[in-house]
Amino acid sequence: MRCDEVRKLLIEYSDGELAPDERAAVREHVESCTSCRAELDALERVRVLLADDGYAAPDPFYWTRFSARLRDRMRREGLLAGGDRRWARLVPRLAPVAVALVCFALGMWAGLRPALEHCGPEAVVPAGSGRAYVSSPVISPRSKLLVEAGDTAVDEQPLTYAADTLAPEHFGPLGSRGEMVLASEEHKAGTGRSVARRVLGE
Amino acid sequence: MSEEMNETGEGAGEETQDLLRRLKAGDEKAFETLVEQYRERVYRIAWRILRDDESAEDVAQEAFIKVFRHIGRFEGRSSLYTWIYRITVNIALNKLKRDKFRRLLPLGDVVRGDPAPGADPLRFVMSSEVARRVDEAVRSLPEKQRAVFTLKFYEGLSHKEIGEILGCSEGTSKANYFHAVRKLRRLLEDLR
Repeated sequence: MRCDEVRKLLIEYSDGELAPDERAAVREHVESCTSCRAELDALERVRVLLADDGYAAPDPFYWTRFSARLRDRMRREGLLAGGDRRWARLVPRLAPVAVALVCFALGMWAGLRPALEHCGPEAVVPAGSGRAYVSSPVISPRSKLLVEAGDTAVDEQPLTYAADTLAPEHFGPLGSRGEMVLASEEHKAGTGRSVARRVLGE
Repeated sequence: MSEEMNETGEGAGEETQDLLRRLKAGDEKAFETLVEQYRERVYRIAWRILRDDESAEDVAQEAFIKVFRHIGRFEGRSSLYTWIYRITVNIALNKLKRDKFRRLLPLGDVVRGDPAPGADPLRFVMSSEVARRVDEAVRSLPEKQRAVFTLKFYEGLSHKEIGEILGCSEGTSKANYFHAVRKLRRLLEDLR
């Protein structure tokens, strides 16, 4: 292969996209040609530089907020106002069932009330600390928790996070120490304070 | 058992078809599933075209809203991910055009934070300089080259897929990619 032919193929060679026979021919050429070898090295160096282009993948906590903001925006634009459109059509037919379920749930709640009264205290994350511990005897690996949290300097309204949408690093070792962790880069950057306002048990 | 995924992470069979059926029926749970499945990729593509966190989120949200509004018109002639990527890239490129005359973002938006405790400060300064140069170089690419380069280099799509997303031929995608790589190589060759 001549140098001009090889030069045309170097980008695809570097991307690993050449057919085996072409790849072998290019490899053979660059092993013996100093200037094509230098060109290939330059391409490889640029590839390494571009791999770190400043993109920082948001943490899982961000995605919870992203979805919440998207839902809010869609509600404001009237796209989710009626909820699931299929369910909206079924509401009149399901109303009696819903009433019965609410009565049943109220009865169950009355029975479980003493446990819920032990739900976690308010936990405050001071500015810059990035971490809050919420202790509660009702937290266990099987607990379904609901946490209202927000940075008072950033969020006008605290967001509500269901525990199963939080990543483990935001959530801490459930059960073992009876506490959960609210922590994120956003809290660290916050100028206000983050507050876990409620922890609801199962 | 989960179905086999292709390189973009989209299931090719029944699972995707079922999701599509539910989306077309207006099932909000299905939409949440779709958002969870694609939000990171959509955001990442938007960020790489616009190179700004806030704009990337705007574009990602707008893309999902558009998907929600127009899912009824999706006929399945292309894959679902191709359609979603096309919507995302179009919104991002339109935004890029609208913002064309805006001042370039300051360095602080690209290189964030302080060196980690114990890190070599000289090395941090050097890596910040490299990040700044890389950022400038990518920003200098024409819109279409930037989109092709993002989809090829960072997302690993084939030129055939990129052609479907951008509405151009495989050859045009290839040509744009080669131009982009050659320009970036020229702009960054003095960096070691």
